[in-house]
Amino acid sequence: MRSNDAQMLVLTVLAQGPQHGYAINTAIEALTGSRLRPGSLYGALARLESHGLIEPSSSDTDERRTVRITDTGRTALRAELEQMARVAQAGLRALGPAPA
Amino acid sequence: MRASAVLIRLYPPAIRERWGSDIADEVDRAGPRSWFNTAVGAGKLWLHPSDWPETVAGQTSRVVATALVAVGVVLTLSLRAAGAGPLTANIDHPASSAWLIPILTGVVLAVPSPALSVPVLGRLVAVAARTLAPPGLLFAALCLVANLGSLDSPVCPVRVLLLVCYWVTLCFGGIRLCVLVARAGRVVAMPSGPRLHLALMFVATGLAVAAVQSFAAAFREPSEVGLALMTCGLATSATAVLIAGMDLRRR
Repeated sequence: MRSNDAQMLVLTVLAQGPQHGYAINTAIEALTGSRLRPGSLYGALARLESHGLIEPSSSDTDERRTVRITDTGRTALRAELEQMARVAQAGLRALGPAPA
Repeated sequence: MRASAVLIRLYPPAIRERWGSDIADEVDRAGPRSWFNTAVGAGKLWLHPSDWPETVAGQTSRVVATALVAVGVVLTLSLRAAGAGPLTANIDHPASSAWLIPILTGVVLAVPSPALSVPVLGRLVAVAARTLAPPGLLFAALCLVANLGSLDSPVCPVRVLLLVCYWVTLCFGGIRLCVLVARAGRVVAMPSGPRLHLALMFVATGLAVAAVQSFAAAFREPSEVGLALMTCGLATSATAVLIAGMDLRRR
């Protein structure tokens, strides 16, 4: 997952609760200001599922497939976000106080 | 037909079944500016079979084996279209077809291996007969026309018509061969992941050797655009098969 924006955005959104593809993208748009393109979004969903970081949360008969984050996914997301926070703190320290 | 319907067909079957309607919704809402990304996303997923959610047991193996046979069919048709070239064996230089050995080994490893029981073999023969009968009949009809004698020197429109029929028959036969592998996968056991990985490695090796051979010929004859195109096609195919093969090891 490391350094993959699309996968991390999907995991971040799913940490709030199970959602289907379109709702995930709408939440990403609310978070970042732009939607992921279909190829990026569904490629990320397929990869996350194959790595066991997300899983289907509804029956196969549903028209829209809802997915949820797994415990492994939560652990991976937490580790990634903590690392990003450390990098962000170090970067902000190096930049010094913002000019007035 | 809507663009989203066409774009969804580019995706591996497992992805289509799991996310097809969602992808179509996104493409319809985003419009033409999402088409390229959607197509690239499909290409990337074909290179990573281990990412496919297996909606039916053995689906990934069946689709990969079918795709591998499709690569073989396209390669055969391309070589047939290119005619005698640096990749074609002749009695003086049998080594020029050495690249075929790993490819054939890979294809043999990838095809389903039927259990030796009469009912399974019977079902397999029935599937093969049903699938290959139409192109077989077409091919027989073409052979009959070619050997009639009255068409030794056909006039131009008839020659073009015969040529079109010939290529349509070849392409149809190739497609039905892929369909046969896909259908056989439902009747007999598909190769395991490690065996498919090995098969893809063999095919990638063969394609890479053919690409090098073709490149050497293109280097000697820089004016031959066809050779350069063939080299690019072979090198791209070899890379794609290699990436998919490496990815399968993860499964």
